[in-house]
Amino acid sequence: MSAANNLKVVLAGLALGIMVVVAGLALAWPARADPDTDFANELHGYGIYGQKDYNAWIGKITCKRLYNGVDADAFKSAQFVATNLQRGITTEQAWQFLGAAINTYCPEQTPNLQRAAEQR
Amino acid sequence: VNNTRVRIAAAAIAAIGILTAAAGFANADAGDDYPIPNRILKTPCTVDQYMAAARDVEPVYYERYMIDYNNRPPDIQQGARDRTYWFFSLDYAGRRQYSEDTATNVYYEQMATHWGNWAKLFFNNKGVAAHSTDICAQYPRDDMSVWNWN
Repeated sequence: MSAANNLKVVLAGLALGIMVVVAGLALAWPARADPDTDFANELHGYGIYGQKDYNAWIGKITCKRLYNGVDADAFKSAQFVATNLQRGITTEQAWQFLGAAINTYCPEQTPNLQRAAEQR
Repeated sequence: VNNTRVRIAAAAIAAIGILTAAAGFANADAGDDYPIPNRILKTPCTVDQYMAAARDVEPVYYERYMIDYNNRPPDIQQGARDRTYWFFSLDYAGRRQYSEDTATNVYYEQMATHWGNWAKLFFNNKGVAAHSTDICAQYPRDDMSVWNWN
């Protein structure tokens, strides 16, 4: 084999390696970068199902209500969540939803959760 | 047997034709629930009360409307607000007439030429109208903050 051919083989191998890595990243990327999916998965752990997009909306709006002062505290937030999730949700699940929403979409609001926990 | 089948088929086709024609006539005119939901024609709530209720019990619908609203220039926002308050100031007969006017003339509502969905939160969905009017009376009658949603 000539030196030129050797070089070709090395380059082809290198290109193939890069392609494999890029493809791997492309496959792995969306799952890690989409908080809505992580949020849905966490909710499933609490036995909360329903439409992924809808639950994500409710999670984000819950945060917005805390920022805008529409919900003055986490108790009001839990009430909002309970009103707008599927029927039959328990109080415990509403709080689990709220915790997951704050964790995922507005971690700055965590003190609100802590205050509620102390009062309970 | 074949004759009977043909007759039944002909009768079925005729029935479908009549149904289609009837539906066509119904659509060309306003009803007590179309195009504006009955609950909106009859509610004694103010705009602010209705929006506050929608924010609580139809949060995704409200959110989407407000995103759309916030994407409009200030004069269009002002126009939509004014027009909404004007509509809610009408009594049942006035609202019913307005419903008729918009159903029979697509150019009747000038606001819609600037922003097609200007009244979506109020007019477009019977379920939203029903859920919101169910509880709107428990909110303050004057609360302009319902328009601030960023």
